Amino acid sequence: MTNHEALKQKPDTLDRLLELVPGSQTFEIRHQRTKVVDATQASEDLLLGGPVEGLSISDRLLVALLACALTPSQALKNEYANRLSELGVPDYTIQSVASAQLDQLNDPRLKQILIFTAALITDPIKADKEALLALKASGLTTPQITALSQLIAFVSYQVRVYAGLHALNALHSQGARS
Amino acid sequence: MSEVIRIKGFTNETLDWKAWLDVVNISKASAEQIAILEESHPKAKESDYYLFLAHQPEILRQRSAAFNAIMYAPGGMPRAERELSTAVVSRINGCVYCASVHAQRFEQLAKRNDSIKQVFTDPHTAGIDDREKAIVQFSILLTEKPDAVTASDIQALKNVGLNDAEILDLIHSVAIFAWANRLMLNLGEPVFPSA
Repeated sequence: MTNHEALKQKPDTLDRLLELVPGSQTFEIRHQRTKVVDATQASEDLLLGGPVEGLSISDRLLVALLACALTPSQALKNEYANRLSELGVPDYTIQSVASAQLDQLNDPRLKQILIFTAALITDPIKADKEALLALKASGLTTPQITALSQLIAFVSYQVRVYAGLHALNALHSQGARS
Repeated sequence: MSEVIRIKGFTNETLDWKAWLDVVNISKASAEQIAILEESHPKAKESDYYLFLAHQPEILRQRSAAFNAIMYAPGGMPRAERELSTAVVSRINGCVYCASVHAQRFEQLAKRNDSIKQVFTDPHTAGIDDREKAIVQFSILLTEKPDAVTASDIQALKNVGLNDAEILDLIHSVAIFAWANRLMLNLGEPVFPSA
């Protein structure tokens, strides 16, 4: 069974959040680009579920949560907040990050990671050499910074695929006049 | 490339790109890293960008699979229009390097550069006809305010002749450059050809 056949049986994150089901117009269009669907979910699985030495899954989910809170993307923000909750991350921490109140966090390394996340999401030009070196100075290795940058950039992508498909699906639901 | 364009800090010249942190040394790369570099881009082994991303090879593999499927897959939205949308996104995000690459690709595919000059000058009014203008406007909106995109924005694309498969490709193209621009902007900087 290919990845794609498996996905058709178990909805991937975007199909689940958008409530796209096989046979619906938006689902069928989306799944014409099989390779994109597969690589999108595989990227999420690696970045938010795979092993990255020195970056815990809860830290990575907090990065994704902040990215969605700032974009904003309510649906993906709720998704990542729920996953953090299931992992047992305290509500206080989840709420602080979801409302971008980074001053309330005690962990200086996590705080530095989230400051970098905020810059790269809201004004990518501000995430410059200085910001990258600050990250290095806070103790992150280059492979960790690679994973973190890919994660933030991926979430920027994922929220826009979600937003575009959401609008397309809304039009389909109205009955497209095409 | 027929004509050099330099407008508001953006260009269609061939630029280099230099990483701010250490890249993978190709002579010490693992077999997996080499394989993933080769499937990512024909020149990846000479590129600081890919050699940096090779620090996390599996993540690079999936990024490249998504990127290549979105930008090069046959059918759907014409490739020149995908390049146009990515040039717009890069212009909006301020990614001079990405804008230069995709300005060139647009010109190679469309055999003209008028739209690129317009995008560099003022993306908000760019496009040589209604179809291009609609593609440009949607690219800006999905880049700047993804939460504000509604059914009427999709309808505006349909009104100028885009079908659902083309709209999906446009959504993917804009989104993948939210990803690509952020990597290019935060991991290094463009290097201009010496005068």
